[in-house]
Amino acid sequence: MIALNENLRPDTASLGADLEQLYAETRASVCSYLLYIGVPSSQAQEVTQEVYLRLHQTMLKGTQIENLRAWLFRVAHNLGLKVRHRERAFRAVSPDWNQVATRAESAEDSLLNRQRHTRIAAAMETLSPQQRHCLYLRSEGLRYREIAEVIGISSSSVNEFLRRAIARLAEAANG
Amino acid sequence: MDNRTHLSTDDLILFMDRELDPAQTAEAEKHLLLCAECGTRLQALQKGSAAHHRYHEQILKPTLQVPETTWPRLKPKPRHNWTLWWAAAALAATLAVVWTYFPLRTEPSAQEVLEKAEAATESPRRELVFTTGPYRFARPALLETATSDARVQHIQALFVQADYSWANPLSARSFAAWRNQHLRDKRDFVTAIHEENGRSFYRIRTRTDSGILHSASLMLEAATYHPTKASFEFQGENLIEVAEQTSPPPPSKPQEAQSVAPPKPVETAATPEDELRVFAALDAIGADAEEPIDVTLDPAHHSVLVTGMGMPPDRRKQIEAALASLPNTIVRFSSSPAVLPDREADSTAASPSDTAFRQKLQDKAGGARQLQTLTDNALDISNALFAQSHALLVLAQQFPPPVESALTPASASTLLALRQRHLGAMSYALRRLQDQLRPLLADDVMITGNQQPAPWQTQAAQLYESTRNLDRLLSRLLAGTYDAPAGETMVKELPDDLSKLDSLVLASSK
Repeated sequence: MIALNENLRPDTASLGADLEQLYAETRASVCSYLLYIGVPSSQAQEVTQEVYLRLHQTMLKGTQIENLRAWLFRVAHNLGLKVRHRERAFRAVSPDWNQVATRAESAEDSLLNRQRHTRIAAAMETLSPQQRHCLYLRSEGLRYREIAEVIGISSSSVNEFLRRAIARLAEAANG
Repeated sequence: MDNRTHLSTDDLILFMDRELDPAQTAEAEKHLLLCAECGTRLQALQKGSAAHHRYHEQILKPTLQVPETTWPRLKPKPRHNWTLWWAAAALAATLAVVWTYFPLRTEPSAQEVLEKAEAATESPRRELVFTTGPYRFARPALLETATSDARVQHIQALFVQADYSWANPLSARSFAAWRNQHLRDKRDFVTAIHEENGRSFYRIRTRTDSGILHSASLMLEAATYHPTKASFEFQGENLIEVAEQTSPPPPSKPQEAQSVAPPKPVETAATPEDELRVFAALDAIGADAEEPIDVTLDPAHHSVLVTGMGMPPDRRKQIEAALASLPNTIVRFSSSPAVLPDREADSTAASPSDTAFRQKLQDKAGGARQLQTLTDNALDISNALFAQSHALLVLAQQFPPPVESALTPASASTLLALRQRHLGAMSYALRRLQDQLRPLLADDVMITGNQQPAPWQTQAAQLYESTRNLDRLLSRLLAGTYDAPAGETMVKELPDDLSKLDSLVLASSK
């Protein structure tokens, strides 16, 4: 596995192999993110590929990338906004609760899981797009400063968005 | 942090997310060992965080359904067909007036609009004006004779090669005939546009990778489906725009306001809570900020009056359904926009700005096409900003401090959520706008001004003014007519306007 906080090997032969491996490991996360910010599914795949193409070009130029994961999300974010329909809202999540139920261990667990998810889904609906955006990237393992870099806002704004969002989610989870 | 006072929610979350520095972390740990109350609060936050994480992994991501794919070939494509490029930038340049247009979230399909437009009677026109780069010429709307002008012949050849009617290019039937060919990878975009003067339009844009005509757009009067403008993006050519020159105003039906939903019996006087419920219901269907809907209390305060103008039937039904169960609420839609004084002269008055200054802007943006893209995107975002600030202003006007203070806690909470939603959308749009405008700005925009604390209603009014000023500046700079000194002044003013708005949004979000 390629450590995402390490640079890819710069020689051309190794770079191709490293990128292919990186693509396999991270493509789903990047593509999910694009879908989440409203890029149509017909285009998300192409934009995802463009992200890795840009990475390849950047690496070939010898540019050092300190944090690959943040870089990937940032480029995906910028490209995604270009293709996203005007101010389209975040994708509405309409889960198939029956599918969710079958993944649970028992009927009781299934019911509890469903109730928990329903409460969180309802709380998510009350959050602003920025709050949801920050939460999404946080769940993808990005640090606050990385989220700030991806979205193009200050770390303190990220802190503020997450504070309000997590407090709201905690109310829902503990309610 | 000290051990005598409790940790703030902020600190607890930063601690949970390991975002505190080592010294702060040690302090927080020490406090948490001694303080059961903070420990309990931390557990509650961790429970919320864990629940969200499970939701993210088990519900959200599986719902997004990432398509299977293989490793891409790492060769750049000659043309990235996914790039949205709104050809209407130059269209906007023909408008000397500031437009405010709001994207409807449920636009009709291109097919639907075109079918209605094809069925409508096409009004006679005297002349069409063609504009491409610096070149501009007029010709009869319906061409019956050949031309000897080489430049016109070149444009004619492009239309012929693309199988697009040269004889009648500003026509829904011609557009549909081209669009209904077997175009490869055809993508349609329909936008509802509402001019500040109340006139509404549909803009249909079709992009394709087939042939030399990569994109064509047609603007239609929403009330009559009368085509007013078209633009064409041919491969390797400047954008070609076609517009009516000085034709009489297209026939419009007389303004008629009709009540679609019969008013419900009014039992009691309408209250601010009733009004807030209407805002919340509209917000729930995404209808309060970016659509031409007004919510007012009638003068006698008997009912909450919701009025909309020029909206598609499906959207009307959706709004009516959302408001159907609310008490003291009357919904009215105008079937056609107000007929205002003739603006045709305005719409053709714009001429290219000072060439040298325009060139300078193009150089900064990276080329003519990039400047058009920047223009279109920036004006789009500015409109979204303006719509959000207007929605916030409406809330401020409807719920001044005395009214707000009398609200129930639940209603106050709803009001707060609505405000935050608008402010969040503004903050997001502002970041995007700054990104778009970066090539034109000498430095990054710094937030400078300290805003004095003020009631949110006052701040909402300031935000509205600031957003409107920025929108006017952008519209004039990017799509207006002016000389070079005026252009230089506007470029200098831009960072200040952005900074001011940024600091206002920040202050209002606190």
